[in-house]
Amino acid sequence: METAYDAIVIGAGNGGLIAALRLVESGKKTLLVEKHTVPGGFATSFIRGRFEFEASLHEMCQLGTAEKPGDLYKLFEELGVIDRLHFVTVPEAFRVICPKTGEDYSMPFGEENFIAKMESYVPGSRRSMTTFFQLGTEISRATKYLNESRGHPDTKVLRRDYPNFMRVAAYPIKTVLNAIRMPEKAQRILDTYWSYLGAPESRLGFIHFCIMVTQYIRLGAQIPTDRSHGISVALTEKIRELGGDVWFGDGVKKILTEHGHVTGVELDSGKVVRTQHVISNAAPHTVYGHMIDDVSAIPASELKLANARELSGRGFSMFLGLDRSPDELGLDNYSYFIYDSLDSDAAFASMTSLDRFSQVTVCLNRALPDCSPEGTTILYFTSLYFNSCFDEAATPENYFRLKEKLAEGFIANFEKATKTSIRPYIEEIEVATPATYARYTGAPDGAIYGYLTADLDNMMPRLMRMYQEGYMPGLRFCGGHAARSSGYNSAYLSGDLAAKLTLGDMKEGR
Amino acid sequence: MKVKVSLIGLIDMLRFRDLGKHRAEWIEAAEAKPLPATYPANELAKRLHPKHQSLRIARIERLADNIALFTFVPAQEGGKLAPFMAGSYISLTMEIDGSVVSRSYSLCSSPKAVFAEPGCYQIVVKRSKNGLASNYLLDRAKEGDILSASDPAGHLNHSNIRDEKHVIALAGGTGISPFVAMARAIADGVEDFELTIIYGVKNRSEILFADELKAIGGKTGKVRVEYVLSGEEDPAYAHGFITRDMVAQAAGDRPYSVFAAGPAAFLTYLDTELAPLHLDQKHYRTERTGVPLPEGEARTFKLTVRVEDEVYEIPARSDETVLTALERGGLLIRNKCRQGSCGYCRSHLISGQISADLPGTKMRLGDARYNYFLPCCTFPLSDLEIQVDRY
Repeated sequence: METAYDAIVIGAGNGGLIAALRLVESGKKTLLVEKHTVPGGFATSFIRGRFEFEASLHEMCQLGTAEKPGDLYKLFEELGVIDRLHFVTVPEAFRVICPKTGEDYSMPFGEENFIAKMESYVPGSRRSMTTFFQLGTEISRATKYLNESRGHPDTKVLRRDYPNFMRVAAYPIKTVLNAIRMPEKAQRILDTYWSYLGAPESRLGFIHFCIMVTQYIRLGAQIPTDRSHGISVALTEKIRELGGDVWFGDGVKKILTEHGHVTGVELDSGKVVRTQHVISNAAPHTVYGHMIDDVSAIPASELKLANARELSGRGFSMFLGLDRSPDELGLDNYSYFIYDSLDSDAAFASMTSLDRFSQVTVCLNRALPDCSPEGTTILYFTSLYFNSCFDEAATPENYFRLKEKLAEGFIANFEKATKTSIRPYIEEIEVATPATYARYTGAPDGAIYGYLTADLDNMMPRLMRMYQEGYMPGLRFCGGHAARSSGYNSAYLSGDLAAKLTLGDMKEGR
Repeated sequence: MKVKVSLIGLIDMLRFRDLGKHRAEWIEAAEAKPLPATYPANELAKRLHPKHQSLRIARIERLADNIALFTFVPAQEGGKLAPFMAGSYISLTMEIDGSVVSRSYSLCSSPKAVFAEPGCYQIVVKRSKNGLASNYLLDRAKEGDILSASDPAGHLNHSNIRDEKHVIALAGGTGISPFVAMARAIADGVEDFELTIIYGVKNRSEILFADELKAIGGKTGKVRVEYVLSGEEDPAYAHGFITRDMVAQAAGDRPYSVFAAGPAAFLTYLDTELAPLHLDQKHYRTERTGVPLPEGEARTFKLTVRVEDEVYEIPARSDETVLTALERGGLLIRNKCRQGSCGYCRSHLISGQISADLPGTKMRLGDARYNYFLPCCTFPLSDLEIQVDRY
């Protein structure tokens, strides 16, 4: 049996869910197919014993609140789902610790608070921190203008209205922070969030970093009360209510093409579904690697781009359900960034070894006190491997023991950094490795951040060239591997962008 | 405010202007070679968690009346089995008289046996009254037959991080299987902890693996078994049911974890019996085999099933789980544990009433909010319309 859709979305990750919702909301007959049995991709949760663990989300960026909405809030509102989503605000920005040196700093939300706290840690930093936030404002406005200009900005306008944006846009974090004379120590503290974007200060675009940090500090960060799975299910149900179809447990095996244009998909079950337009939440590496039989249909420019890129960090996570309350355990903070070095280049370099432990740990109860039964705590750890060190060490024979060994390392490192004891209170433990991420999402090599946002593959050059770079007719990408790069907000917004590009393709008969 | 990054501001501007050009050059310089079809982590994931494993029955050995040990090897020459941790189960899928039936069985073989040539899994099958799958396996399955299995799953495994070094395992009947796997894992050096099994069975004739467990105990000094017979008296064995005193005695004054596996009634009994020991949840891990069926007169309801763009109507009895109704109707959906813990059969209730209040099953908050349910431990209370996933 063959059925036909205006568009088919491959993968119900954050990007795919929003893309499908935008398409049905625009009146298009849409099918969203997901090979896993639950929606969300990384945005999911799972149950062990009496705990429901958040699978990936640490904090939502760019959301804000009804009073102070960010871009993501506005998107959820536009798509008619904001009323179904429930969020709480994370209590503080971060605590960053380097166990080796004993450096330990806690930073609050709110621009004024943040600058004042930094000044207390680093006297003389106020001026450069203020400049940093001012740059954040100008950059946000400039990127909005760039988006509106759809790839054709007027250089005169840019020079007139956004001169500082123009000056810093081509540089990595480090260069700009030096240029605004931020004291070295303040840079080390400010750089804490680097691991949310997965590239170090010498390679990560200042623009991307500055937007993220200033949005976090100004809007605060939120998390959903029902874990990210709650958002994923709410989006799924909204798509269905609006007449869209969502199929789980049946992935797309092949994208079918004729004369270089998409003509449909073939599912794992063998079912063929016709369409002229596909939006893929699966990575270009996955799609071009094995989902298109007629390789001559793949534009050479797409292959070149994919080959030029680096995969981002391979994910490692650990989830602990503890049978003591956060107070009893002495866990006072929500997010602990524990780095091998507060120099992000050094920390990045260290995350190529299984023997060194840099991690971001969240104590969920500090934002959501009733996320687990009274007297218990949910603690989860995330780390990244920036090369193939995990692949080289892991075998089917040693896999379970290796997981345990790595988990022990991360637990010990956390205990040392925070001077707490958690190991004796572990009631549930689950470990996710790159193989786990590969299993559930199909992400190439279990990379959880899409492509490395570094050098010429930073978000800014990606977005600047978005309209010029070749693409395969009928195929658009969304999600962490797409132009806006990874992260919840980026992935959601990328879905909206991909849907709008596809709507444009439909309109213009592409 | 004016931010000058390099010495001459104009150069920064040019750099920005040229960013696109430089990116284009960077892309152009790359090779247009084909991309890899797969990656090491994805291949490892496939080995650890294949969607299906095709198994050949290599051996069927009668262990007792109505109990047999099945040994499986990969159906394909040179095929590999997914590794597992001792205590895990697999779900077997069989086609029986037009119905597709799947059942989960704890693996009792050593995790090390997966890596032999050929690798093998073992399970124990005991006949249950009116048990479609057990009757099929004991009466009709034969050596050489090919069955489909899931990847190994489950959470009744020993963790060196979470659990104590001394595990007191409480087994009811064939609930011994996961603990046999643990004992074998200890013998093979795959696991390293002390295991005391308190093994409750009806009669002596139903005791399984006694010699082997004793031999492992002798060799390793880490495995002990105590037997409790409920159905006959024998001076060599304790009589009655497993008691808290037996657990306390086995424990001595060292820290211990209790693992228990068996039918719902067995676990309910243990909850009450062990209550005075004040075991916290960290030290008390259980795995239920199967779901207790509701009592009372059975009714038959209409079950409307949506799978992708297909719609089916099948009957569903009030004394059978929705999952059983689906299988009876020839509609196999994904499932593994069949007792409400793995979440694999998660489906959407579009309309109708179900009973789903089995203790020990927990839904995700988001799933509960939007009427998702687990067919494996749910009984219909009215006509139902549901959406299920393609297997």
